[in-house]
Amino acid sequence: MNGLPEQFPTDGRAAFTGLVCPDCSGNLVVSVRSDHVSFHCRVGHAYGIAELVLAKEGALESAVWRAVFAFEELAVLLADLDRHGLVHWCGPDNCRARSELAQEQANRLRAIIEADRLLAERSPGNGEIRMGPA
Amino acid sequence: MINQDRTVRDTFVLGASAGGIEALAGILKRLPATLSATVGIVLHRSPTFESQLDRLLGRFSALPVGEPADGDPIKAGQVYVAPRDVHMSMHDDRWRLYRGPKVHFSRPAIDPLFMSAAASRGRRAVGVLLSGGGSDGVLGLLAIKAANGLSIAQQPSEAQAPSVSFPLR
Repeated sequence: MNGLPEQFPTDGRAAFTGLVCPDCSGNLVVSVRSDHVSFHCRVGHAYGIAELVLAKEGALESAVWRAVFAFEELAVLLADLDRHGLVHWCGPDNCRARSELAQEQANRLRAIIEADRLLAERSPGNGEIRMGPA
Repeated sequence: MINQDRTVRDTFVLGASAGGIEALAGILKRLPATLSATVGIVLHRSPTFESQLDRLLGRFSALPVGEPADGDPIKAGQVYVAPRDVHMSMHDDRWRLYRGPKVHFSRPAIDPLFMSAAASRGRRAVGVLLSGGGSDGVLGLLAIKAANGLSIAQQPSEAQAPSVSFPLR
């Protein structure tokens, strides 16, 4: 899977990337003007390099929270079905085991989010990112 | 404003983000009431809460300060501030206010104002980028420079939130 093109475009032209817009999931193109690298999608969302990384990290966290919610929702649904005696079709023991596993998976994902460290937390100074030699 | 080349510069566009009010106020204080130029300002601001930014900036300005409505004529001797949650750009001597896609996480964003000033005013435009707005405003300054306008960026060391990506050439 390619993220950025092998060759960056010059003189303000744009090149497709393998990345999608964090706001609308449209294809992102990259362009370079006077050392300034920028990304934009078809509808007009625009990002600098650091902004794109921040947005991607934000989107990643959101995606994992959605997965946490899905596991926890499944766990509570199965627990409530069991409590109401509505699990004959799969067996109460199977239902409880699946519910507990779903909750454990949710806990693992919560731990992953907690252990994750954003690039901004690692960057010295003001987080400026530039193309080319310093 | 006329420079040594006798080029009239009568359109000033200013952009700022976090910590930018102080720098904006410092510029507005120095503008004379007789200035026959248009001043357009974008400050990154909350899309949700009404901050009465125009009234706040008006305290520092001898020129009238206000938020334009879509389609308003662009007049000299007036300071225009982009309202919250819309981009503000210049089209055929009228303001265009539109709820377009966020640019660099922002709406209003600096680039739409600067780029439209470059397109519609060309060498008459002066772009001033203040106090770290991430990447927002950089492409706009380049567009103004390419249109033979004047591009000015605050030194990162002077900014309260120095995060603008440089250099500009």
